Amino acid sequence: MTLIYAGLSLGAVYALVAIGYNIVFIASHSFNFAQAQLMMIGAFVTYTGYVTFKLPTVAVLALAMVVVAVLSAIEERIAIRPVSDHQTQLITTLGFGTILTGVAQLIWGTQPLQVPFFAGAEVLTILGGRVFPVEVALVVFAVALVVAITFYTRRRMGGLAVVAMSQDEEAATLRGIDVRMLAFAAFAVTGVLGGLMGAAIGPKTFAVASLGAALAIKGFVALAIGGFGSMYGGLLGGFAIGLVEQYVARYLGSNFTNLSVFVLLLLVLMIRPTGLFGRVQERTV
Amino acid sequence: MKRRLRLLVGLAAVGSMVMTACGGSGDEPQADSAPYKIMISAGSDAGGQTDQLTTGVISARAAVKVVNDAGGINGKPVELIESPDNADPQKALSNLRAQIAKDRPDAYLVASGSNVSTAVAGILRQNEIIFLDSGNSADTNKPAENPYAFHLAAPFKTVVEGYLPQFEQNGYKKIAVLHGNSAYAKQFGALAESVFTEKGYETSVVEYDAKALDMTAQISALQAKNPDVLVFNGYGAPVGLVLQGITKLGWNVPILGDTSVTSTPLVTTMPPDGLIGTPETKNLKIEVTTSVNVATASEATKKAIEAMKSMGEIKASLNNCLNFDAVMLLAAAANHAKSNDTKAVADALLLPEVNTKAGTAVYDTYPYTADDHQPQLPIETHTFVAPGVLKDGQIGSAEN
Repeated sequence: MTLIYAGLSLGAVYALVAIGYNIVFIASHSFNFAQAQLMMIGAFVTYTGYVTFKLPTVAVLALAMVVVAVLSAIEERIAIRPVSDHQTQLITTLGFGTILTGVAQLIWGTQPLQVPFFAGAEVLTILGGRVFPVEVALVVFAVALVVAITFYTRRRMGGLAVVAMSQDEEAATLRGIDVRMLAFAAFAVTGVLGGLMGAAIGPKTFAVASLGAALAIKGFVALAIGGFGSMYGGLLGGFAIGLVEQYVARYLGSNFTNLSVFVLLLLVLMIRPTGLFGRVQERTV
Repeated sequence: MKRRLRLLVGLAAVGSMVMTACGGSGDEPQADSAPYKIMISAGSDAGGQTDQLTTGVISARAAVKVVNDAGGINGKPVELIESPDNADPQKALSNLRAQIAKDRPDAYLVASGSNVSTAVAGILRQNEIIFLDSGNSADTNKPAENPYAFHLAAPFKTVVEGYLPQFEQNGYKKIAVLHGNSAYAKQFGALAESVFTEKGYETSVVEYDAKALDMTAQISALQAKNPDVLVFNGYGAPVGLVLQGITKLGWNVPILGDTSVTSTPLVTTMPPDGLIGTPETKNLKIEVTTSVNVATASEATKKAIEAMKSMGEIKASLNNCLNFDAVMLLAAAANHAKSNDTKAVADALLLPEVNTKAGTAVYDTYPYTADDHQPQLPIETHTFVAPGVLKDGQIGSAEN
């Protein structure tokens, strides 16, 4: 069971990155390749809040969410809005992510920092498996976030507006939706969640400047496996990668972990090119 | 008329000679007054290796000051030329080429890892520039091909054989080895497996991906073998992830970390930043050179540390201060040879009377031979200590 828990918690980390990608993708059909770095900043800010400022947990989480939301809003202004096509946005967001990594190195250095977790670090035994409290929290958080976002996009006016914008920007504008404002809001919300995600991930992975690069690719693969635009798909993709990594490392060796993940991706894409939960959008021309 | 003509010709000849002489001593310095130039791969940002890089450069600066205060090399001052390449091999190579074209350095040093060493080894050999390599690149221990390159760090064999006394003292028979996937880590894992197996220990080896974010699987694979001790290589975040993984699995096994583990601040820093005194480091001992341990450091080491402190903060362990020793060795060899010629300096470095009395800090001596340019250090130069606070490059100070 310990290996399953390790796989699920690692998968939850990848799923959180995929969720961040997905929110921006649904809202604006572009990828925010700085998402993982935004989460990395969230982990560093959490460390600063707890260790340097000795703030209570609520204040630390608020600080992480505000800082990352502001950074995310800045990114939308300088790396997304001035660029017209989505292909170029891949480059500009990647560049913004690189800047964030550099800034993190300047402020927090290059060594890993231990991020405290509010529920402590005592090992729990659940159904015969051993797990840290933060690992349980990661899985619960990822699942709850996906359920909440899905509910919001299906049952709330704001969420429906985002989906409408995603399906047909022009039609959404004609229906009175402020598309630019909504796209900006989606980025800011991604930032808020990114801060929260960073606070959840940091205690498991340490806050370290290389964290963004480590998360970015696997988060993208999780999304590709699950299907672009599908929240449940990203979650499932993340868990699948985490479990495959752990079991392959345990029984075949570390040399095969990345290989196995990409074999899984290829298999899924060969069977379902849009990913497990992705949908083909048909348009009449 | 003829006398006037002769006078004019004579004046012109003298004038020409005077001008030639003046031109020769004008812009270009005379060879005799030129400083002894040592180039070093330096910078301020090498990612995760930044502390190692800056500490390595500070150690070279300190040694240059020590040598210059003592009269320089053969009466000439030593000049340290810092290449701002941030340990990037391409930039280091480019900067070295430019420096050779402008003003050939007499010696070259690196301050972080072996990538730069590998990149510059060829051009240094072509230009007959002496290279004291703290990165221990495989390309710089081939005396037959490159007689001017020497290793500074302890050979892998010394590092790995340093574990054997621990095994004997504690009666360990079954050894587990967990190592990363960098070139250094793979070499460590391969040599550990061959040396331990050769000595009759039952050895299991598992590799982990240094970019992985969870090591539970790799640790449980070794736990299943039920070893007496875990030998562990790692640097940076993987050190924390492995130690966390061991705690999570509830595995109560003695852990012996190699010198890379020692270089990771997580195990030489108190909480909340580090792990000293936490359950993660309860069973951990880390490999250090005798100079890193305050209790066993020599007077020369203490003097060197004072010199380095005057140049800046020693952020990494003394293991990263090999360039202090490099400059001291160069000075001792050139002064002994009474020449700055590359061959003369390289030949002098082989002499025990030179490399044992150079005033080096990390190792007391660098025993090189004509056939092997790795310092043939005894295994006693490495020992194991409990994790402690790293201060001025050392562990075990009174403040710990």
